[in-house]
Amino acid sequence: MATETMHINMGPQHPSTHGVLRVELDVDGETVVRARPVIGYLHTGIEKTMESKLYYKAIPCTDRMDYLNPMGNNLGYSLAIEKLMGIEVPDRVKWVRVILAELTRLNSHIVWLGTHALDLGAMSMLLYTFRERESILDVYEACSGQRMMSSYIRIGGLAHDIPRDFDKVVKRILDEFPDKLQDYEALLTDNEIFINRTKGVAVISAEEAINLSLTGPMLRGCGVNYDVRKAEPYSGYENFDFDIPLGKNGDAYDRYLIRLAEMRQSLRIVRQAIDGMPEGPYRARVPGVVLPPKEDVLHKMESMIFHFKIITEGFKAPQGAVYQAIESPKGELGFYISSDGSNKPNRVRVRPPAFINLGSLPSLVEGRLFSDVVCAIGSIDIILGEVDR
Amino acid sequence: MAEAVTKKAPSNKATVTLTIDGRSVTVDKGTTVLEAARSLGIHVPTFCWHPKLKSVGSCRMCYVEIEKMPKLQVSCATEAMDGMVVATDSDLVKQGRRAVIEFILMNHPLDCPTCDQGGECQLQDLTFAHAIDDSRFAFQKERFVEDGSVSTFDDVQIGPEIMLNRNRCIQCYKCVRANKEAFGEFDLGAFERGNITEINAAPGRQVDNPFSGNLAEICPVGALTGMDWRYKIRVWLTKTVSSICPFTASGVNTLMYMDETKNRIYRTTSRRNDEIDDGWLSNVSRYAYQVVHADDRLLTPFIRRDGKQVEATWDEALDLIAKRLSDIQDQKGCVCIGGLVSPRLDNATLYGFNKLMRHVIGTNNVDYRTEYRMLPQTPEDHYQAACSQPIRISDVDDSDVIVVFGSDMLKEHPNLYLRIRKAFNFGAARIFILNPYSTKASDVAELEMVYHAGMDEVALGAVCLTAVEKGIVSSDETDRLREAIAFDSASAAALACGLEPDHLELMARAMAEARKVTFLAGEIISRSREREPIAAAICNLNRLFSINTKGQFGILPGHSNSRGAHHLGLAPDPPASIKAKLRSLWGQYPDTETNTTDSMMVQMRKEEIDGLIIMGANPVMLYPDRAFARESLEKLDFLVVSDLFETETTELADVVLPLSSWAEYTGDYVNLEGRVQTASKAIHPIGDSRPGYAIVEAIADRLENTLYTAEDYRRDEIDTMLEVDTACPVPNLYVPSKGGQDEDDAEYPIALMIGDDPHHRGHYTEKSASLTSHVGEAYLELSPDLAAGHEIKEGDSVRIESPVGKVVLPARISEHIRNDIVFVPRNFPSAPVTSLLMRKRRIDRVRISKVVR
Amino acid sequence: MNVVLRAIGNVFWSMPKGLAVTFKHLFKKPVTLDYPHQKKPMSPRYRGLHYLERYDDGSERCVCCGLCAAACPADCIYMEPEENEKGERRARIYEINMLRCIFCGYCEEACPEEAIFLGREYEFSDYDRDSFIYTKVQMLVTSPRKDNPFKWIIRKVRRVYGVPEPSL
Repeated sequence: MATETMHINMGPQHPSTHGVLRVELDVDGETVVRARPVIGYLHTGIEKTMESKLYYKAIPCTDRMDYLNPMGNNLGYSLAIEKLMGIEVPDRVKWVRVILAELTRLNSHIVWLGTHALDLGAMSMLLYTFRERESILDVYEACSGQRMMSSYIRIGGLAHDIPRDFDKVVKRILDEFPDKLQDYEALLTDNEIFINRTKGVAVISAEEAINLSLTGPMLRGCGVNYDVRKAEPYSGYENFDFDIPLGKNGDAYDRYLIRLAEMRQSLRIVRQAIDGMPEGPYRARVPGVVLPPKEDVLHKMESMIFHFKIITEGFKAPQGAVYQAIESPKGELGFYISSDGSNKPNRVRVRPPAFINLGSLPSLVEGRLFSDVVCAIGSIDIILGEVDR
Repeated sequence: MAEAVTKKAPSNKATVTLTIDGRSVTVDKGTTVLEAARSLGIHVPTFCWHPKLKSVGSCRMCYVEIEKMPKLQVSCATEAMDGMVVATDSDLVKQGRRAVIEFILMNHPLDCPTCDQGGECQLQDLTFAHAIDDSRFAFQKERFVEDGSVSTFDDVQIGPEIMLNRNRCIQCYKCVRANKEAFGEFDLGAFERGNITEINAAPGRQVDNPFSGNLAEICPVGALTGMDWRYKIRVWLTKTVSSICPFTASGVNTLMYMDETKNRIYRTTSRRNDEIDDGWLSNVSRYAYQVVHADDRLLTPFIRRDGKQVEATWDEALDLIAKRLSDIQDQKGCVCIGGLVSPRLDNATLYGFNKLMRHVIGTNNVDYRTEYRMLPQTPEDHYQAACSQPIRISDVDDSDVIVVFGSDMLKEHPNLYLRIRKAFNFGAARIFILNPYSTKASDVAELEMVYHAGMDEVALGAVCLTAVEKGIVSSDETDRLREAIAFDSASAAALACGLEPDHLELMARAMAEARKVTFLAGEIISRSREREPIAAAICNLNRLFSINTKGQFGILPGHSNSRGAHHLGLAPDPPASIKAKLRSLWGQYPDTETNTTDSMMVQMRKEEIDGLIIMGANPVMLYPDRAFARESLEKLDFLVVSDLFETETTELADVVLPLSSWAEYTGDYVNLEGRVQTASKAIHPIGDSRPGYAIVEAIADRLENTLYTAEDYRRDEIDTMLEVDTACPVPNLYVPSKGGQDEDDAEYPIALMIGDDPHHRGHYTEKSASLTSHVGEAYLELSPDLAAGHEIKEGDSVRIESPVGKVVLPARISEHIRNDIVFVPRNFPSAPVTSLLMRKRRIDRVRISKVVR
Repeated sequence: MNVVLRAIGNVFWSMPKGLAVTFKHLFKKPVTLDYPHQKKPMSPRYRGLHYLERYDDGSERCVCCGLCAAACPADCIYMEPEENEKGERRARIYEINMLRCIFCGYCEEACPEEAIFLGREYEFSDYDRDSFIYTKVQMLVTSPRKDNPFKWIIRKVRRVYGVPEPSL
């Protein structure tokens, strides 16, 4: 029978594209011949906007890239600027940052889990995961005052000190979360339908993953042991004991397992951090770069002047360029910032893991069944806010 | 920046070589370490140091470490010595500076949020750069509280435009020093000592001198702030645009702070140009920007319909102008149209106006001198020669002898006035002033000679004759000189003009012996009916003392672009070289009769001129015979006036066109030196107003004759016109300089002098709120004796009567003025002082009497 | 054979395991709230609608210094200062465009007079865009807010002359 390939536009408005991704598909019957992700529908010019703002004013922009990972984005940017300025932050700040980054990983992974399962037909997962997410967002709100766009991690420290009942709330999450994870596993890990939809689907080899410069669970799912937290520890990660879960087959099912395992590791890290939380200031005291404490601003003339000047003019960074990567839930999130010596970045370039991982979509689905495209997109874990920026 | 004022170095120019931060530098002996560092481009932070003032070393911020000196030294007060090794950035220096700032901030209130200086405060900047963000002083700060103060805002207004907050003061004394050294004013002082040192207005005085705005500008902190900038906008929200002041002939460089979104200028500060202004602005230059935003700006064109001016569109107005002008051209010929233009407008406007009148319409009735009486139709050679002499403002600094003749420098050229003060304070200049009345510059003058009003050329002649008689200068042409001066002996001439022969000898001797002489004449000469004989006398003096070979001399133009107007051929009968250029640019040049403002008015009365275009000028108010000017303009069939505001002249107009101010378009201006400077566009034109050049081009278009075929051509043509040979010939002979005199009139015994107030210039500045807060209404300035004779006290209403009019003004008694003369400013429309004047008189005489209620 | 074993495993082990989770939730209290009748309490630091605080003596704190506008990444604050009858600097116009505002809290952090705070209100929808430009009158509280989270650190009266309270 003579057949011809059919051209299908999947998205940009499609429930399983996790945003406004469009995938151009050529299908031959049920087989995908060619897949091409088309992006840009959510382009907001965040990098350019950051270049037009003082260094400290760009932090709210970072919140809005990967909106499931606001603390991680804040952290990456702040670390980059701290590297540029040569700022060493107090231990307490590092510990709080680690706790929040790992809670953010939980946040991102459970949202991924819920939506991915929903894509594959498991409706109740979404409800359960969003219930757990609420407790993490409560921590965000208690710290920063907002549930998603936290802007809590700042250059040289934190916006405020952590709230008084911070460790209580976090410990409650630590106590409850393992049970929830067990529930998720009970629902999915052995579920025949889930296994059928994910095992052996969206497979990528370790070699190709490296060639595509994939990072995060996408890479580790193929058994490649690369995690920025171990490879180039930042923010005191070297002080914590945790494992990097690895997969074998590089398929969607392995990625699922890795993300679940990562959540357990995150809980491990958070517990270590909350138990060993050092006392100290919540901001480095770097005159001219970091805002002096508000109490000083109200009573000391020097602090008032520094506050005034930093707010109105910002600080001037030395000439040069830095690259700072963190392990975001999706992979290696890097900030490249080049400075011309003025008070605004000359160029900000984000290495967004979701964007680069999305590049593997054609390899994942070409030659496979049309119905696996949804699973493939889901297993990459993309956030279009970060892909398009 | 490196250049700074030092007391004149000895002529042998010894130099010293020192090392600063490892770099070797050779400077003149007497240079301070700070200036030596700046000459290397090393920035040493300062509060109290100012490049145009003497160092006092009061702030201690400029600490440097000098080898072999046990302690840190203040670099602004340490003279550079041979072999010094200086470190400006060592740890010790940093520590010292940090300590200085710590002490300064000890008593500084936490006022940044409310302080207008916030964002441009040197204290903030240097604290940010040199200190840390923590303080060790946790105690109540010293505070100056004004009696009856109910808030924590301790601001005190010490002048019309100056706000003082003593708590913020860091005692750098820059304001007091500038006031004293640069401006010669003593209305601000420092009182008390130690912790409670305070800067304040002198007891019972207000800080209202004509340069007071500079004090707020140079204050490094928010202790002195300007009222016009007070609580308006934060400095980081504004953009700066470089401009120039269109009210001073020297073309003072300014910086305008504007907000793009609101299309508004918020203030003007100086843009230091050592060649022109040294960074000082007179209040006129500083507050003139408020004219742009005056409430009563003309916003739309007006057309007279049924005897009333009604709003119209540009199309209607331009169509009407084109129709009426062509009608007049067709019916009576192009010579029946004339044009008057203000020399405050930019080159493009002036040139376009000239081209419109001469090339498009074809008339020679063009003039820019609308404020001078009795201008003859033929050019005045000597006056023109004296006006076109090359003058350099910065050359005043190192002149040995400066002669000011017939000019109230403070009122006419405030920045030259400051230069003269500087030459006296920092240089070695001897200053001589020859004026019909005493002026403010007299306190730096070695000799101020006040001659009888109307005897200008005789006074100069007396100087020449004295020099010859006493053998101070030798001349083979003594007889010719005597003949030219029309006096036989110096004593006779001196007696005639009321001068002391000894004084004349002193001045003549000084001029003859001087290495470099600057001779400046001003508006009193230009405004005189006998300007030609006086100019001839100036030329004679120049020839006798060879001033132009060892210095400079000239009559200074009165307005910001008078020189440009002359070069662009706006005079009715421009010199042959200009005519030739115009002819080659246009291919033709009208050969009709040439008429000046004065002769045009005569012709209007004879109905030989029917149509007139006036741009930016206000002859009814400023022509020295108000009734004559008004009657003449009323005779016109068709009058077009383009101006910023409704004026006495626009009232008579058939078509009124709204003109844009200098801040609303980019224009070039030629200052009194012949320097072409640009005032950049700061804001968009207000309302429907248009720049002058656009208006003339639109009129030309409607007359179906495009002025320029391309945008570039305007620029090219103006550039061609401004390529001027600066070497202007001076008459090489002694020339007759006898001027005519009026008949005496016993009924009107007092001479009346009319001019600008120090805070005003022309007819626009009255719209500036800051300037009117200094001087808001006209006054009669008279001597204490004269006042006593008429039982007049300060502030009394005085009736001033001349044969043609009378005006009632409040009296202001001044020690400076002689008994037979009174002064009235002409800047206030509410006081029509030109109605007292008669154009044919050389000196207007009046009588005064107290108004009894 | 393998397929049969898997099917048995699926029916008797995997599926009931998942169903048990679902059944377990049948007996749990709902975690949802009956909004708008019930509302979730916001944390003290919550960044909601702005308000302008007053001193304890009732005077306005805001002096219109412009730091909040300078710090605002969204440029949503507009203000014009004026001098009040006591010679104090005050805001004549103080407007926040709530549609532009991203509620980042930078204004609160920048304010050197502790005048602006972000409150806990998050329900301020309206029918036209103009009403989202909040003016000073709308934001200025009538008396110091009791629920201000920073109430215990901020100054009670304006003091710019050092640590001790001035004797006004």
